[in-house]
Amino acid sequence: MSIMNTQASPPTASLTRDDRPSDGPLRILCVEDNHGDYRLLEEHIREAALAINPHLERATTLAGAITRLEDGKEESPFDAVLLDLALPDSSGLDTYHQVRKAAPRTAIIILSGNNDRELALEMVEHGAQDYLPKNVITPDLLTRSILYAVKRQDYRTQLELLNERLRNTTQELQTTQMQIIQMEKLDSLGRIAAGVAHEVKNPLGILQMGVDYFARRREQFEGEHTHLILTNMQEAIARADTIIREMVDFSRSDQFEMKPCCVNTLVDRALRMVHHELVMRNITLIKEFTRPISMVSADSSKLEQVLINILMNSIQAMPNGETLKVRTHYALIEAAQRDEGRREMDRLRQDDEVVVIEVRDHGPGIAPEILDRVFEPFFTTKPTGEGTGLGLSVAKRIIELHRGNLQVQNVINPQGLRVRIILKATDPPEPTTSTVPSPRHHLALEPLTLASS
Amino acid sequence: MNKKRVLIIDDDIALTQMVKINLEDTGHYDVLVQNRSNRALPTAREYNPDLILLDYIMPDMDGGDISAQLRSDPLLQNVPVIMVTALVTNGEMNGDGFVHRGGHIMVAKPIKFEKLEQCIDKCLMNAL
Repeated sequence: MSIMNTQASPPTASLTRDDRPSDGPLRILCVEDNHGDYRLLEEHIREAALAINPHLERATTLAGAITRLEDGKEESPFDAVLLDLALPDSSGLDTYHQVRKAAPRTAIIILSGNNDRELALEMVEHGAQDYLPKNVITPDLLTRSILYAVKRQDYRTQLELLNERLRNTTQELQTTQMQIIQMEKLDSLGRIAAGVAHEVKNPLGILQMGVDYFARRREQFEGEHTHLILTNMQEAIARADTIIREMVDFSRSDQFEMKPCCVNTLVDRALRMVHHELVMRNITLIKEFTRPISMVSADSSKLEQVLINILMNSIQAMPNGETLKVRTHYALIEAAQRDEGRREMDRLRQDDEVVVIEVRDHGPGIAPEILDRVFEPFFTTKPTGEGTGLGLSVAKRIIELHRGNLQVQNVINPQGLRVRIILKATDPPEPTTSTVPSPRHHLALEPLTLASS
Repeated sequence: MNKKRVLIIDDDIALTQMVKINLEDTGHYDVLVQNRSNRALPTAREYNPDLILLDYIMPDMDGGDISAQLRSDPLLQNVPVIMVTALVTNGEMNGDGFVHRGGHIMVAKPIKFEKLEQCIDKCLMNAL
């Protein structure tokens, strides 16, 4: 350690007090039980006052120091702590940790005696900013040490903040990466679907030609079941064809094409896609469609995607033969709560006439504490590997783009979940040939409170 | 009554066989099958069909390309072409079961034979 001039010399420019983020004096807590040692320190600091503007306080025990540090923690934290090692209630390395815990953003300078240099070094290893052997302290040394220590602590704090920001950015990047992968998967799904469709359609074509050939010659067959067999085969081909066509429709990643849609037709198509799952789990399906029903403006394949997602969630919530109820009906918006972030134009408002698709299951519902999170991308309650957690977040986005509203609510009696897709009614329903006025005007429109989705 | 000459261009051997059987079974058509899409043009020139059934997606040459080539051939440009496709969306199906895409008549696979006959009749009548 070089011997410094006893005269206070100005410290280097980079360490002047003005450089520090906070204004005002340098708040120093000196933890020293020995009165003589303390007096000396006090004097040294007074002499150093030319360079720094110290506000000095004293504690004589570790416990006292901790109390003092914690009291000032929020509003007026200390900038530096001068910590003597030989306190009456100190206990080795733990002393340092306790002080650090009480003052996470404060520079800690260890004042070591003759025999505890090793301990002092250890504390520096653990995060103390500096150590000073008491017998060589001069005003300049003390000044330098304090200023450097405070600066170093500042850097440390900034580093922690930057690290935090880095962590967040990395997290965001990972999320975005996952989203891109997911989109690519959906893309290849479309291509795979097209390939499958092609491969299956030709065999279906062959079967169709065969059925047609034998149907033309059915009188020649003796069996009594000929007609029935041919009918069944014909229908089987039609069914397979329909499913394939709907799958291709569904997997197409086209632009949004809004066209007049009938929600009943749409729901029927979605139900056909999940029919197998319903059967497998022995689920009873109850359909309550309002007919005729007003059209809505929608991209039918996207809306179908949403519906299938909702239906599958409900189906998966009911593993053992419960009931699934699907309704379509009109409603009148009774009251609309402000949905922050939605542009005025897009919002459904009070007195709007809407068409509602409602899916009601008898599963366990969603725990209230996670109900808010169901629309988060990648949030899922399914075990790892099952589903991506994207479903409802994409669904919400799609409904938003339709200028509609998606509601998810727990129901109590009987327990279950109710999901509603609410879309503005556009054209009146298809005109019927009968003279009876359309039910639309007679049906009591159900009032619907619109909570933000 | 003269039989109409139908040329089928499609890579699927079994399917084209079945369609040929059904068409010739009616007694109204003579059918030639070409499973190799790169032989489509020369075959058409030689056979001089009244109507062509053309598969849209094939391994070697795209149905769209072939259709363009047919149209630019002086001998063949007035021959009606029915495109057959596996990929039709629900939105594109009209009431009559025939799809109109970009000026072409298209039929979806699989198609009932009765419907195919109707489509062929319609095309041949329009061509006259």
